[in-house]
Amino acid sequence: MSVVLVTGSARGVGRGLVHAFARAGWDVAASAREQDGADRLATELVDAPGTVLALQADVTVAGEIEQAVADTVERFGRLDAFVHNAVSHRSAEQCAVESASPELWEEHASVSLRGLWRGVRAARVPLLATRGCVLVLTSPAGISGSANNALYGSVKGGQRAFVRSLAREWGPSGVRVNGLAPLARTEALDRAFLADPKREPALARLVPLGRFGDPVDDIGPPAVFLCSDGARYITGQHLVVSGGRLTST
Amino acid sequence: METTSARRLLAVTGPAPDGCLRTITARLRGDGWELCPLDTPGLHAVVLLELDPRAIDELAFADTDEDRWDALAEEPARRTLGVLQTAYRNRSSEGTVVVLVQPTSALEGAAGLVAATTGWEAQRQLAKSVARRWGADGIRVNVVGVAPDFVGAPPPDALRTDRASAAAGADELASTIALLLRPDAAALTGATLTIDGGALMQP
Repeated sequence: MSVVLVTGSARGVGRGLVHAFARAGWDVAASAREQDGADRLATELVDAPGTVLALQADVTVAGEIEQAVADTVERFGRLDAFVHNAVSHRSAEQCAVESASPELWEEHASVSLRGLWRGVRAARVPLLATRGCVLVLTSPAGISGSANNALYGSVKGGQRAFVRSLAREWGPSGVRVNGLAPLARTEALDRAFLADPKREPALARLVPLGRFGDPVDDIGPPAVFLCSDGARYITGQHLVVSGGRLTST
Repeated sequence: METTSARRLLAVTGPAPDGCLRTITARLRGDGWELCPLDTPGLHAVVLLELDPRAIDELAFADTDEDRWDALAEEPARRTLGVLQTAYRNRSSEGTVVVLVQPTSALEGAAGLVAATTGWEAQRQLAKSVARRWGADGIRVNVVGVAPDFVGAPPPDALRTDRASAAAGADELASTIALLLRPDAAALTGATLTIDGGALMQP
């Protein structure tokens, strides 16, 4: 049985990933900033083929993701995939970059850059042991830029280079590193649409498949694929799962 | 915002080898640009050089502690945000052009440069986002990528080319910046131009 740790799993894309991995038979360590969110997920998936271990870990707090990795290995005996999905709770918040504050930058960077660095460092040794993989959930905003969410686009772009470089660095050790840029219907996107009702139809018109991805059924399976043996020759890549929203990457 | 003037004000900022900085500023002065500090009202152009040779020193990810991570991956993006915000506040009513110069390493990825490439790509995406947002304000933002050996590092295997002799030097970089600053490049924004002798050839 393969084992994956997913950060930021309480809701949205993270919840979708945990569902997809557990349904595919993976044992899943589902970490979330609040223990309740992870517990809820474990309850939802109690009958799934894979076991879900609920863990509390805030990737912005030194020691917490390290402990989550240790707990995962202790419980399941190995780690085959580390999935960095956590984002700032302000990730979908529109901002005027010309007046964006250093505090807002820190909100994004602490989770998406420093949190990524911390989590992947923590997972390195167990991933080397299994010749496992890292999957980073990025964003279309990190590919084409974002006029109204530039700081989010910036950190997501940084993650793309992280993936490329780490794939080159760890490839000789057999550890693969990939990214997945989803366009998904999440609670954060719903809040953004509520704040600006014109945004939803405007964005929907740009998606050839005409809808936003479902975190469980549209985003989860490609993530499982990238972490599976079927993708064993794929590294340093970004899979854009956006219903055709982006076709030039 | 300033009154219309025949003067063309340019600020050049960011880390770069001395010789490179001298070559670029000499060329742009020769083209009639007047160098001034970044906080000068009415700026027509800003060149942000991110060519710190120290950033390209190889550092294994496993050996990257939090201070090095911050210095290489996060601080450059914070600095770029500050430069862009200052440029915006001091933009000219006649239009302002911003050029960000950085190594191409982030486009292809490089072992030993995980933190540095993360920072460079965070900068590049920030530049693209503001190009989208500030276009209506008459601000153009473009990126120039130079080969890693421009700042003294050997190119990674993936970027080695038998046309290395064609890779850009400071003169070619200065010419490319000058091109981007010209009024007839008015439709060029959000773009990344790589001047590396054809080593990368982005898809």
